[in-house]
Amino acid sequence: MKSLDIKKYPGFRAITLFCLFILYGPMLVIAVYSFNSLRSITSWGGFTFAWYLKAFNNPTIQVAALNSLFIAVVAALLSTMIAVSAALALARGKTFKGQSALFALINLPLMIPEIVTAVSSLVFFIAIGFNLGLLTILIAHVVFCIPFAYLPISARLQGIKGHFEEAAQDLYATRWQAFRFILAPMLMPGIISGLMLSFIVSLDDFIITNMVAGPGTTTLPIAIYGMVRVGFTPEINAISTVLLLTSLVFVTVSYFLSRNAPKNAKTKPLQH
Amino acid sequence: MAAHFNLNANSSKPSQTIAKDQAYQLLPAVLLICLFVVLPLCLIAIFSFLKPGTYGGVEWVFSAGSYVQFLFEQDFLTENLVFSANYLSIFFNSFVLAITATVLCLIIGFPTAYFIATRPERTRNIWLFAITVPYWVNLLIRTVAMLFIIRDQGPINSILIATGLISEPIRFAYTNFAIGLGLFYSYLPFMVLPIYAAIERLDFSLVEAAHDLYATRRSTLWNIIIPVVKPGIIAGCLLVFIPSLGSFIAPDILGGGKNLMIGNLIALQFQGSRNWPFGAAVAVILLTLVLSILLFFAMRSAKEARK
Amino acid sequence: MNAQDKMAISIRNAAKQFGNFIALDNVSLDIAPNEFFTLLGPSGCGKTTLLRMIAGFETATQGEIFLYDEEIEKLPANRRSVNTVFQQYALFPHMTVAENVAFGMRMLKVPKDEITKRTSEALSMVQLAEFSHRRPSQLSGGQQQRVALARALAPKPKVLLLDEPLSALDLKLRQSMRAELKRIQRQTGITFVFVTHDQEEALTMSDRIAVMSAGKVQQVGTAKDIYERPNNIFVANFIGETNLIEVKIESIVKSVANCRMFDGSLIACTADAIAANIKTGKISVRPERLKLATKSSKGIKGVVTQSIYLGTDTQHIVRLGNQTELTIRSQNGDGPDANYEIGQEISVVIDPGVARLLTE
Repeated sequence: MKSLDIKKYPGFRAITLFCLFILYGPMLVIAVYSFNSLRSITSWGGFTFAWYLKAFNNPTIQVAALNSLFIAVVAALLSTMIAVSAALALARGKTFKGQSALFALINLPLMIPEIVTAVSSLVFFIAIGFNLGLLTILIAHVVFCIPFAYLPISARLQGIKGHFEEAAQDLYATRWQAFRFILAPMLMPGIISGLMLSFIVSLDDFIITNMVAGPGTTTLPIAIYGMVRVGFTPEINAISTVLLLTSLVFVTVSYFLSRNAPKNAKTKPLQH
Repeated sequence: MAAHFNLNANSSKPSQTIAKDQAYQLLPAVLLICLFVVLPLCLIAIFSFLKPGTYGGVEWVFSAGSYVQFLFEQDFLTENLVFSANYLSIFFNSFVLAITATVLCLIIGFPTAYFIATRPERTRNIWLFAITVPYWVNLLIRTVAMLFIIRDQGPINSILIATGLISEPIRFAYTNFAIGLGLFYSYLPFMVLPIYAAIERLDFSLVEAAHDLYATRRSTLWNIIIPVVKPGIIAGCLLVFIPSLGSFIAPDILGGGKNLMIGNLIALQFQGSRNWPFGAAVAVILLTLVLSILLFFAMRSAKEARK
Repeated sequence: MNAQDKMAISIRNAAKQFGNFIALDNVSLDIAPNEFFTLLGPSGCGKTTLLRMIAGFETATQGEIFLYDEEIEKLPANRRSVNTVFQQYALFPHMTVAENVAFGMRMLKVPKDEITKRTSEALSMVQLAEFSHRRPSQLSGGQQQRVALARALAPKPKVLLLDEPLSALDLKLRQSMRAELKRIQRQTGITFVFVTHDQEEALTMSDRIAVMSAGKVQQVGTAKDIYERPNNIFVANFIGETNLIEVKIESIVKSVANCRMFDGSLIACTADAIAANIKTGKISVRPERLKLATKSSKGIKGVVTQSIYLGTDTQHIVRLGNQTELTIRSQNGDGPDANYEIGQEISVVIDPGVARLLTE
């Protein structure tokens, strides 16, 4: 029987499920095979953690993981600090001439094809005589993480409606105290969300990192790329699964933080 | 994007010039982006007009050779410039693949966005979240996972062989098909999100009115829903097409380096064959293409907003 | 006692421009200690700008502001002993009610036990002592309003500024809050500067009112002053209802003008609010001061076009010979003649001393 609900289109649910299947299928397959004790694709030899142990004991992966972690933590912290500062001026301060141009500038890294950013960074670092390595990766990551950190922070700031800083200053707080005691705590979910998003964006980046890493410096994506070039091993599945899960956890936390945002940011009277 | 930016004026009228403290707050971000994004882009633009160095790098001599090389090649015998479609065909291939991926994403993405937007509010966010998550998951790993599945010894071929449907593995990997599939899979969430946003804002009394005026589901979809949510569809298509066009990972991994796209062509000039000015020229061409497409649609939507 | 001449707030020639827009045009005001002073005017008249200037959120384009003879115009908001109750309250959502109230004292580095003591004092003054551990979002609009009041009062400011604090409340609540605000003002003895666009609010609460329009102060006075002796047509129109009839001025002697009406009759009206050399003006008469009489009586002739029964009053609209429409309100139960038919020809009687001659 045809549904009488005119909003419904038959088959759309099936397509949605198919869409999710396509999106998650490959990831699930990789995760499942990372626990298969056999190297075989077709048969299941039983559940094992052996590939994870093997991956964790691989010195190349160890070094790459440490590099990735270090870069992602520092890049997330720096880019979030920079993004908070920029968002305060653009999304909370008074309007001014050229505001939308500056907004576009901050989001510029999102609009340029990543490969173009990658090669131009490479050329630039070489031109100014920087040695390619951890530092160049770090600089590149900080810069392109800025818009990712900026988005949740400015969204949160725009959700904070009301003269809270003025109220704080009216109650004898200095500008810094008004930020420290009032705006910063209210902004915190956005800041954490920004930290997490920039962390995973940095952790996951391959194209730019690969260009500016120079010989000998590896991060996890570079290590995985190198291993895939040689051939598939269950180790790759294991280390990939770890990265997948990391992203998943971080995105989920960040999502729930930003979802609860509007509720406690408002203090409008109930009648409204 | 900038047009939707909500300017939160603190109750006073917009002051004309930027306040001192705002300038200080913006300084780090602006400085870093200018220094490490804008300046390198300028450098690339300059490099595209230089001569390649013998061992990589550049020679500081003006030359439009890189752009000439894009369209012509020197005949070995006569040393005359002869038109060559080698690089153009890579661009053509990239466009075809990006358009294919965009169309595929639209076919799957629109019904998905529609379905999600018509869910009850409580479950809607969960569906949406499920669609968004893959975007934040490592693109390289997602692409590697795709290769893992479709390669000759991968699960799909293994299952097909094991069931006796085929005797030889079907060659999916390292083909244009694989790249298209990879692009589709990479950027599908980008299609769903803006269309979803548009449908969620759609006033469904329009749909009721159409049905009331004897429209069928199909004619309502074509005559009412799709025209109204068109801006969302355009945004989705742009968000898929533009990164697809400049994609590097999908063609590199799934194309196996044989089926090049623009992104690989650029990367190659800075890695293997080492012709920086030519790579720079291709990068400039790609960037120009992308920015003009963006500008075109930005101006179009601005024009429509004024109407 | 020289407190008499020491004003709580003294504003001298304050002006504020936003681009080409003049928000405040050379405003001077004196607000006495312990006064409940109201800035009243339509939106965009500059009252909020003036309040924000006193608070320190706007800088004046020119002019000076004194707080008990101390120049404060150049001081930042956090160094002014002035607190604000914000229109949307701006309660800090991540703090409890008590933490909100304590915030100002915390910033002033008041000793801890005193903060605790004064916080609970302030909260009991607004009858919210038992809510001190709640979050603002768990309170109703009226309760949030009172927290905002307690928060602004707790640091014991010299002047309290209130920016349309009642506008977000519903009618019932607004009325009870008026009495409450008035009580708290008397109890604390703090000077209140209250901004509103609601004339009823202004008339019922204020010791003095400054009526503002287009960035200027039109009139300052008690509720009675501005209702009964408006300075100009804007004030007469904005405060209550009035009837305006154009007249030619024949002579002015000792603030009494002899004016000729359109029908040729002469009327004497008070003229303390206009310049001597003026030739034409309008007389303003409140609807309840006009009287209706039969056609044959002495007065301006007109026709009743509307008669509306309003419970305590009956309101008649009368069209005069020059097409001016007058509103006349008479109390019911006064006599049998309170009701006139539509279309009836009647006379409108203006008693001597009731009309007031005004210009724009």
